[in-house]
Amino acid sequence: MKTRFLKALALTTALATITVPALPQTTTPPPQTFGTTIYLDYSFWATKEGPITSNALNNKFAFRRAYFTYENKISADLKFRFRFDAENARVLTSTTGSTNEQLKPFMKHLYLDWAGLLPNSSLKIGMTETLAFKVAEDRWGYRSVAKTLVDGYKDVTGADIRTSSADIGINLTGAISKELRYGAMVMNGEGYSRPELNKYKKFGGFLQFVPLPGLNVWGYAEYEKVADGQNAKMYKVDVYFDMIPGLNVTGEWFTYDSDAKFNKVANADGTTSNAHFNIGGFSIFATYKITPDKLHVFARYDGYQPDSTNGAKEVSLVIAGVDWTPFHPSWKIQPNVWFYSYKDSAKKNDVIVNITAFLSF
Amino acid sequence: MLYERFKKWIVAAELAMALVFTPILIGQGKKMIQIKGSDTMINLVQILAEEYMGKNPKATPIAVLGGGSGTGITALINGTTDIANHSRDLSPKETNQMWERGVKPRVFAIAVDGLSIIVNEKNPLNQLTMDQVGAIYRGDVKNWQAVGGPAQPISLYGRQSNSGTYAFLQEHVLKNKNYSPDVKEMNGNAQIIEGVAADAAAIGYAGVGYVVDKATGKPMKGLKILNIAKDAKAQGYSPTDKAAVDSGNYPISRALFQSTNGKPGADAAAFLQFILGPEGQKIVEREGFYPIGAKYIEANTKNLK
Amino acid sequence: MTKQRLRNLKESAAKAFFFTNGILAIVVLLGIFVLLLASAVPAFREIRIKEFLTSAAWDPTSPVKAEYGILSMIASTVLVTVVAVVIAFPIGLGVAAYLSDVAHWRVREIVKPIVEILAGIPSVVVGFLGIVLLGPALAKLFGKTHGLNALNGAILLAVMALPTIISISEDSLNAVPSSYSEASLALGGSRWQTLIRVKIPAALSGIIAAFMLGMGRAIGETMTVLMATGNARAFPHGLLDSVRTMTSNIAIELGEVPYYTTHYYALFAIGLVLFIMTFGVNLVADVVLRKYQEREQ
Repeated sequence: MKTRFLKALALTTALATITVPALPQTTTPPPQTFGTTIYLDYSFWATKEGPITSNALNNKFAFRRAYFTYENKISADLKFRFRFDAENARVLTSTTGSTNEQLKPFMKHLYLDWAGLLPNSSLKIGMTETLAFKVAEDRWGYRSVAKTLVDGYKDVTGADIRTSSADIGINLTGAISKELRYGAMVMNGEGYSRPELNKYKKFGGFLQFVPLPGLNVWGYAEYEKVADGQNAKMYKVDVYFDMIPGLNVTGEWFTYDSDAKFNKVANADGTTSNAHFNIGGFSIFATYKITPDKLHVFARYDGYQPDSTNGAKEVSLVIAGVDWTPFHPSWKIQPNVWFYSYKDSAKKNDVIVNITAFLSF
Repeated sequence: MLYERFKKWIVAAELAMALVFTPILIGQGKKMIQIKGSDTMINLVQILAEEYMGKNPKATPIAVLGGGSGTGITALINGTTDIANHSRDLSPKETNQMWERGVKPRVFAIAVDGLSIIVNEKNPLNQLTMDQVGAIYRGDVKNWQAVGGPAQPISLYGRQSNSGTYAFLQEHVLKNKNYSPDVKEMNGNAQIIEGVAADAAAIGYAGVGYVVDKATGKPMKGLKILNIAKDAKAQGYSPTDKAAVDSGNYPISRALFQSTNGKPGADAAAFLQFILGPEGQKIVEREGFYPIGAKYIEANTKNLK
Repeated sequence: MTKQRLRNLKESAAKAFFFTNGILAIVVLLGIFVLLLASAVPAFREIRIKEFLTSAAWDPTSPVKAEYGILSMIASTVLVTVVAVVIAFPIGLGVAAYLSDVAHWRVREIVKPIVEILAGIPSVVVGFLGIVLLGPALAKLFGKTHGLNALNGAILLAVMALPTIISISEDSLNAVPSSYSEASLALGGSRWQTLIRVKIPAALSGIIAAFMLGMGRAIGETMTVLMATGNARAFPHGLLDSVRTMTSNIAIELGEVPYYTTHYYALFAIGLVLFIMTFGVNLVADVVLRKYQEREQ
């Protein structure tokens, strides 16, 4: 009798342990969302003689970025975001390797977003996105393939222009009418990778005009004092053209003028003096949706000028690729080609082919 | 000069992509008209689509999905739907976004949703204001005496929380406050009507198609349809007055919209013309909504051009 | 294989088959309980148990603040069930006693099938009769404007529970050995005394089982109460108030609730409470039964 009872108990426990995990999992209530996005690359060098491609490393797998985002819609006007990022330093173009270059997570965004200050506005406080290239990044949409002009500038040229995609401070963006948008920000100026070490803050602002539906003109200016008597300014102008359904064409142009940037020049009398130079660049890109949410194509041309006084340092970059979503919007495959050419005739062209996977859930 | 060396590579890459993607692109083949948006409208639009496809077997098939008015409008901005269903106006944020992205929406009103407030025919009242109806259904007013009727406790009849009518009344008349817990939540329009017809102290709500006898055009036996006024000073209008509903004078009504990005394509335009024409409007009435009146007809015709 | 071994094999196969089938009942019951528990527990991550069981406001779709209190529904279920049993039990027992003891065999031949037919009436039809027939009658009787209230529901549930109570009580009264009643009559007792003092106590286990089954039918009845009680969410203050029982609430809301939200889990939590209540009732019945059997021995 006892054994029979035990057998029955065993059978029912077994059944219970099988069925319980198969039961529905809780989803967190709608106001809180968790998201993860991963950009994974396989790249290989198609040339052997350019400055990037002329080393023994000629193909690799790499995470271009991995994000973890938590958002909480506290009320109709108040939102909170927390985002963790992880990347190898200088993924695509770095060729040195030390044992301390693990994929490290770091805080990218941690801010409160309040929509109640002015009608149609958003006030963000904390570590937030900066205004310098957010709109351009949204239009480009292929951060998984490449950063946009200003964001990726220092990766390509090695010239540091101290503009970052996220920083600690306050910024306010909004729309006055459907034709006019604005933004203003006050930030530390060091970005998310460096602590603030000086008393000078960075101020920036933009105005966006939309005279016709689909035609946007965006102008941005930024100012920061870098040291006594020295300041750094950046000006950027973007034009976005969306008037053909499915096609977006964008043109960006920027110039960075910092008193701290100068070359030592030898004078005729043997002394050296400082020759100030500007840094600048422009970019034109287009994205086209062949089948919305299934198949898109994109192409881009960038021209970089790391030193306005030295034309030989100019670099130009062509990117072309396809964005394919085979089954589910959470994963896409984006094969793309990067083609570098240098004004300096001593440097040969670099061609790199990537197969990028975009995963998001 | 630069391209000679890399011609091989570029050509190879292009060929590879063409080989891979042509069959995919060809396979994209069968095009459907995508309609996404409001859950209030999904049943109506699905029935309209079925009847349209039944009458035009060679026409492009139509796919109707829900998700809410917001989802439909976002899909229109992103280009992933041909027509967006929405039961509310576009918000300023959405209008700004559309302008920025070069989306020029053309909005078509395809039906009008309205509720009639009914009482028992023995009730001496003929008219109530929106505020009074709201107060009654919120439970703030519990006796007919407070609104000018006989000294009798109000007997409330309503729908259950899964009903779109319940939600519509809550949003428009109760101003998004809670219903009184004393509302008798009936299973459907017919039960409300039966209840109100048998209960001298009753008040209820139902779509006007259900409370009017189709043959005579008069309210059904035992019911009285109240006139509703926007406020104490305004004139009260009856929901059976089509002109009042169309012009917005009858307060408990809202239009149901479909929007396209710019001028609708030939397939979508054909479907829209079916909905806005006599056949479509007959189906709209059959499903318990009001057909659109002169004001909307004029605007729609202009948008179709 | 030898004939003997084949026989043994068949024996043990048959034993195993019957054992499995017997266990199946327990497995199904436990399975239902586990499923209910697993689907109900996530609700309590959002809802405080105290609020769930003691708050009288149930309004999960409220645009102001979602409320998940089931006290009104528990009260409604208890009210309707208790009144239904109070009505049905004496009538049912009376009819059973009449049929087993007093009625002429020809009357029994006619009434018993009619009672069985009463059991077969769909609950929807009973609910319909409640709206159309009983509602207006109650309204007129009590001078109210409508008859969709707890009393209406209770009467209808009594009507639905009656056949069960009558059938089982009658069978258990018939099962009392005739020696008991013959002995009582021989000792000088009247027929009434025999019935009350001897037959009914002897058949008590069956009668209590009938009572339990009738009560179970009343607690779990959904369609009838959905149609006839008015479904108002307010706390009932009397028999003439419109009420909403736990069963009708689940039926009303489960069809349209979005899956895996707090509202969805809360509905399963109500089902769990209902399950526990029915389980409790059966447990009490079992205890009472055992006590009575012990007393008899």
